[in-house]
Amino acid sequence: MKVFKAILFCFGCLLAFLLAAGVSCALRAKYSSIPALRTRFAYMYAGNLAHYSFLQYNQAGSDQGRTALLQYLSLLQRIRNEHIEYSARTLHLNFVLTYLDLYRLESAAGNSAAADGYMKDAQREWSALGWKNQDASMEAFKKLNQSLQASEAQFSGGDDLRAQPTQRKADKSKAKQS
Amino acid sequence: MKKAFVIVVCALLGVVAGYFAAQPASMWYIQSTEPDMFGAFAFTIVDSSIACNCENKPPNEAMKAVADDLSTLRRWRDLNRGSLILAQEIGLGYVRLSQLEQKLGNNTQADNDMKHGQEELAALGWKDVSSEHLTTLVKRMDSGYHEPGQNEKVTAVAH
Repeated sequence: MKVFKAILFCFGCLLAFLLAAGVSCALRAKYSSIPALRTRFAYMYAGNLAHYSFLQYNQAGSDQGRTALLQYLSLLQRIRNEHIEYSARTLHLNFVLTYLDLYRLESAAGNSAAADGYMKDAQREWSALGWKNQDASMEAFKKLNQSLQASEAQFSGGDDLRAQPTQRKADKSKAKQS
Repeated sequence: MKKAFVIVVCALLGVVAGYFAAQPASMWYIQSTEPDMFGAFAFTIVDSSIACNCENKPPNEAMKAVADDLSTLRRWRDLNRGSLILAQEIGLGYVRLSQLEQKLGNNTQADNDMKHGQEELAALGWKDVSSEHLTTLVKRMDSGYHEPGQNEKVTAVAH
């Protein structure tokens, strides 16, 4: 009987340990670890896809560029829809830049309806950025678009290549200031 | 009383164990439920070492690092046959390897690597795969890493 009681007690201890470990693990995972990891991985994934899609758009044909940009766009949508913790401004800005890339791509391909749609989407995201004194007009977009286009043209060929990475960053800051 | 105390201690130990187990468990959870997100994590680790370390090391060491990373990417591509992101990075990796071979005076090997890179990138639909263009492109991309405060490839190159 004593042995049975001792075994039962050990079992009780083990159960208490496992239950507490399970609850603690689940709570920390759900409210801290998983959201943090998803955020970190989402930034990495978005970074990889931004780099890939930009090079495809800039160096490959329009079909390959479109496919890559849409793939990147769908990741941005996923980050938004799944409420992954992500800087709202970065997300809006990435949407703006991707929509503008798509706008330029569709404009060059002569798909004016699609291009207009992307321009409107870009404008909507631009307005959502909520910068002070921002100019969300079509005029400001065209300016930003032209500046991006000029920097991309340098990158895609010729001696001087495309905008230095810093140039593109400068474009972004310019856009931010406007 | 003693028994209750022992059970409480066991429970407390369980809380601590669970707390520390949460991190690997979360990693495992994400790896199994969102393999693409987890893949991005692994890709970033290989990718950043492939691109960033070229100029901080002597050519011999840099070449070994790039060759190792490239072989990791190639093995990985064997498991993800359709991955265009991997194909692009492999193509650019060959261009980097070719630059390093050239620095060491291994011109034949450099030409071979460049040819491999050109094949990979041409298959992705790249319009200009001349060695001059690819070399300048990669140099320009990598130079972004050495700008102060620009560690992220994406911020640097794409958006």
